[in-house]
Amino acid sequence: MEYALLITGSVTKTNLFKKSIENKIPHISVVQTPTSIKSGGCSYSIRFRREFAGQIADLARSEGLKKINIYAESYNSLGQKEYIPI
Amino acid sequence: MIYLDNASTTLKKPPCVIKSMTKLTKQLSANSGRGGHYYSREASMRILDASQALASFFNISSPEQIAFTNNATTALNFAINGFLQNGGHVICTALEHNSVMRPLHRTENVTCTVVEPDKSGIVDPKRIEDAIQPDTCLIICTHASNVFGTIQPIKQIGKICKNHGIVFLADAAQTAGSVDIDVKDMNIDMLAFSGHKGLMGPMGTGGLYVSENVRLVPVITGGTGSFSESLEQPDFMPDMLQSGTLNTPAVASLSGAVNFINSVGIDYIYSHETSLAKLLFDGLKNIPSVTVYATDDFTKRNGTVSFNIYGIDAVSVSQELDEKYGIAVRAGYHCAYSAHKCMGTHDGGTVRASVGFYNNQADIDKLLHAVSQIAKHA
Repeated sequence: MEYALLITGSVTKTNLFKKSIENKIPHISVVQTPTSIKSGGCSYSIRFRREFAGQIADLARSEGLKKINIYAESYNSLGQKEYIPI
Repeated sequence: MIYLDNASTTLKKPPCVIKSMTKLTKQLSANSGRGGHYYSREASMRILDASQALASFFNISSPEQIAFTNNATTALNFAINGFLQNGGHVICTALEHNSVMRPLHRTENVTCTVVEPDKSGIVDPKRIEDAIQPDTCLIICTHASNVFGTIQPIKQIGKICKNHGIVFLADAAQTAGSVDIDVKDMNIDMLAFSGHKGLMGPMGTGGLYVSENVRLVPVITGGTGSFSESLEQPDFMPDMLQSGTLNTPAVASLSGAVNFINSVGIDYIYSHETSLAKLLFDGLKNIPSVTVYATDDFTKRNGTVSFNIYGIDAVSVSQELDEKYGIAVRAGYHCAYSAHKCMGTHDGGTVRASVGFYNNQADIDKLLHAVSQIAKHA
């Protein structure tokens, strides 16, 4: 199963967004944004199945999220997790 | 013991609040927004549930515009000190609590016009409008006097603020949970509320709603769990005003408190409290040598009644009520001296009995009997 992350920022914004979409998108969760992709320090992201990236982006726009930064989770040749913008 | 000091804090809490506090203290004394683990995530979600419950309760569009504080005093300090960084002219009423008066007194470059109520204990909105100056930037009004229980016409005041483009800060410490509040209908830009009084939530809870149109400078800065690489405080709500660890079990339990009030109905609570207060008011008026203050129109009052017995110091009355009759009331100035100055009770203050949801007629009858006995010595 492939996953992706949408950076949502503050924990309040993230949880609000999660609550608003959890009946529309299956298997979503809140995670801390990985260090390699966060900007400005600690933030939170929504983790979801990659196949829903388009829907998530649309929902994020309709919920008024200003920046839509989505990253695909993948593994490099060394088996380390990496995040690729999509 | 009969508890009639609900204007200070509600002693008795709904069973769902106690259950929630107990459960969450045992299972979820975790830090919201401070990590990605289950407990932190769950704490964040429970706090958001409380924000959403309160947002719906006060008709606030965006739950994230509510910052939790320890009490209404902290909320008022955040609003006043945060808004008046550049000074300006402020209008407030003489009925304000010291949690408004003291921050205003201390803030530099601020001039303040204090509008007095009439004899009934109610401020005329026209007098507030007349006090507006070209540099008036903030109008502050308590929703109900914590001394006299008089409900102020904040909807009309909110309309005046809107018409003049002035920010309106309402202090709902005495009304949140017992008198209906609608920030949109009342044009409230900032609403300070306590969670532990009329909302019947845990001690150490309160909050501040700040409209998206109002810019505050955070008075307290620190860890928010967000944008940690920056030395600047986040500029978005609620992180801007929520530095440091929140009391997760207490804040989260406000959801249960709001749900309880919604299930009972705020109109029922208001009617219950004011009908008991009216019984008390009318009964006190019939006791010789007792003076009861402010309007007898109970459509303009909440559950708080202030009185004095001629010739007996208010503190002595409350002591006797406590020690001899087992009745808890408060005496003195109730942290609102300016209110006493304009209502003629500045020489010693008043005895204040404040009714809550869990009081009943028997409580009022016992207080009236006790006061009539004490008044015989007057």
